[in-house]
Amino acid sequence: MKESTSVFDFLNQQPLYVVLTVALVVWLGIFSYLLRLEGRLKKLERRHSSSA
Amino acid sequence: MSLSLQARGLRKVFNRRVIFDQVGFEIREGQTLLVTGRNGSGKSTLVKIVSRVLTPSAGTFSLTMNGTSVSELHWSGAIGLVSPYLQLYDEFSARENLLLAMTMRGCRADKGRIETLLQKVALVSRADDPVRTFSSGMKQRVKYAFALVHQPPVLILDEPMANLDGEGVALVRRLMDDQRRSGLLIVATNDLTDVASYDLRVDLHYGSGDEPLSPDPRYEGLPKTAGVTPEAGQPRHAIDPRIAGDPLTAEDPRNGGHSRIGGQSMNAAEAATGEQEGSIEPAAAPGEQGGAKGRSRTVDAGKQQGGEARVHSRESGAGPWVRSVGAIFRKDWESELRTRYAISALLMFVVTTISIILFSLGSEGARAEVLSGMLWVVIFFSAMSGLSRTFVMEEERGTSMTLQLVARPSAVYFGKLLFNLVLVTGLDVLTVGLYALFINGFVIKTASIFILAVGLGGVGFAAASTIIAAIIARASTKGTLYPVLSFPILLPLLLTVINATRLASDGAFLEEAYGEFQILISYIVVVTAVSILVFDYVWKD
Amino acid sequence: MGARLLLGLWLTLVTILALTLPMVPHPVHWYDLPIIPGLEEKARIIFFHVPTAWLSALAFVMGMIYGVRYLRSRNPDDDLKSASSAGLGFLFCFLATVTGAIWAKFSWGTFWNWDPRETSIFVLLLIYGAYFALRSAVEVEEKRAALSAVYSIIAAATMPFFLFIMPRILASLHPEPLLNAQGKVHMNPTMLVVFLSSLAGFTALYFWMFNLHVRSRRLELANPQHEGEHLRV
Repeated sequence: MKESTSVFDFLNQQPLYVVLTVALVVWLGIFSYLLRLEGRLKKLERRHSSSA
Repeated sequence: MSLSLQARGLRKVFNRRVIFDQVGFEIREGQTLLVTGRNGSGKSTLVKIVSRVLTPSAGTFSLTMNGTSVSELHWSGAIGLVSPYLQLYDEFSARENLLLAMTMRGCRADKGRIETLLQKVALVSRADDPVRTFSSGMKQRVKYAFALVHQPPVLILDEPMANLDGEGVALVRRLMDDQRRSGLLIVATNDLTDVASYDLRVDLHYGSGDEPLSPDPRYEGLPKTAGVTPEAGQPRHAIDPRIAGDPLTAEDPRNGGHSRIGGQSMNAAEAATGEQEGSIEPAAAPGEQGGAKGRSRTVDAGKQQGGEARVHSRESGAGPWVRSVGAIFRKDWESELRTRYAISALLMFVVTTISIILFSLGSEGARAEVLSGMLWVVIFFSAMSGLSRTFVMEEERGTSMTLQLVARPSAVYFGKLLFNLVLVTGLDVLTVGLYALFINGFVIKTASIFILAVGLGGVGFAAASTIIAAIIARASTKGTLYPVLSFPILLPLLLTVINATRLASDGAFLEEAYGEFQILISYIVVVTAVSILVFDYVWKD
Repeated sequence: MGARLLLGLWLTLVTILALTLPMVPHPVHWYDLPIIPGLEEKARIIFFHVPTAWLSALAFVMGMIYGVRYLRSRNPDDDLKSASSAGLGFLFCFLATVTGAIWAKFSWGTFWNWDPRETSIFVLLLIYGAYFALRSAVEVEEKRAALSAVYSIIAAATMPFFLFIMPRILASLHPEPLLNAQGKVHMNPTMLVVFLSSLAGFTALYFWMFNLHVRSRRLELANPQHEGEHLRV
């Protein structure tokens, strides 16, 4: 409880860290999406080359 | 004269669907080639490729005359094509169409030749009526005259007997016989009545499982010289291997028929050298008016010299090119005067937009700056309503292919550019005149800047809108696409002319607008140069 | 796979550095960024905004080059690459426009005020839009490829005119911290390093996305019956 209030206090004093958190969440989201896409593509390509 | 047409490994793909692949043949002077194949097998596609109105996806072909190969630029002079999808210029008469066929190819107008041909196809009595009023059989006859007007060494016929009556069929047989004697003849048809009269045959069957024609008794004695080598089991609509990653199985398309070709062409060539033209004796069409007169002068001077004269006469300098540009411009201009498509659209747009501006301004008027910008709004939207007509009309009437067949792409581009230039100049004069008359508060203090800006702006407008018109003419939603594609391209020009007009209405010195003029001139140069470079890709399929 | 994880780490690090390094009037420590007068903390957007603008231009040029290659080779794969670059270019162009507009709202007070840079990026957006409108209006694939290649060439030929025209019409308020008209660099080495790292990271990201896009389109074209299925994750 005490821990979390201090995090909010910290973010209140340093709005830049809110921006940082949002930016990191967005970036990591995009990154993991691309990684998953890569994996799926590899699988499909293997299936395609083995069937063709 | 020696003449030979070779094709090797031709392949055409539409929407990644292989129409045919590995088609090859070789024919020499005096020989005839029959192209067969069921509907959809690509007969017409092959014919278009050999006429160079379609580009093959792979493969090469060449025409050799007297040891030199005919370049792509002179191709239109060597080929005559008759086909159901080749459209004539409807609003012109048969005689005018023939004149166009001559001049757009860059040949000098030869009235005598045209009369001869009209007699040959038995159309003298109707020669001055618009082709629009002709029956389909009569149109087919005009097409024959259209194809033969420049005495092509290679005559290509796609479904030659389409729409013809008995008399017409006899007439076409005679024309085909004449061509056999003096040049090459290629016929694409499934009509097998005259099958014995052909020397070689290409059968466009792709896939081996379904071949009803192959052992057809009607082809007795007619070897299959070339064609397609169906890879066993390959699907009819294969996916382009360059995407799928399959290797292309190549093979030599020319088979044992080759040695045979040599022997036969000797005979044919001998026959041809004998009496070149003696038997082009008139299409003795019963009931033809002026037939007697025609018979006496059927043999015309040009043809007797054979093919050399035909092709060499067109290789001299820029003369033919200029003639061709002039002919295309005149054709569009004449056509516009008869149909008034573009002119009426432009006129109505100018009047409509200016009156909208008048209504919205009311009695208050506006600042000169705003008004000078509005002037170009009127010009831009009016231009967008009319400048695409020149290409869209060709596409809508189906005459693009006719034009592709007879004229070089660069001549087409400059002919159309010239036509648009005239339209834009008219548009500029009209808009500025009406604007000055009706809009209060529109004052030009430095006339020299204004005149230069309108003049150079007009040229730039014409240059950019011509190439964009050529692009959108090939797309499906022509009308709406035109301003969408044109606006980003025209924006640098628009901003510059608006700025120059503003300077002119502020009474700036001429020197202050030099920068604008430099931009306008370099814009014109860049856009025209790029258009010339890319026009081929837009114009030819 | 390793290279991809490295890229993920790289851009994470760049993001953290770009948003946490302190900005001071007179940089003393190696980790200090300089304050650019009039921009202050808002200057941090250059680490994200400039790379997107750079990528929209890069994608445009790449699309045009693949278009030219298509016209020479008639290889459908080149058209596929051209269309893929245009698609990504459109995405980054949109991002650059949005980030720029947000920044403009806080610096200039309005989202949009026809600054020369804003006009140029707007025209680029229009060109991308026209490019896709054209592609959807041509049915024969070979013709579509040729026409869109031609259009991108014409657009590329007329774009440079804005460089000459814009300064004559409007004076720009757009900051030029990297290299301004006086040739003076506002960035200190630290800022430059972070900036260039971001540029490099974004460029690598672009090529990765380009690669994924091309490969999935290839699969789609190879199996026309499952058109579009592959991309549904």
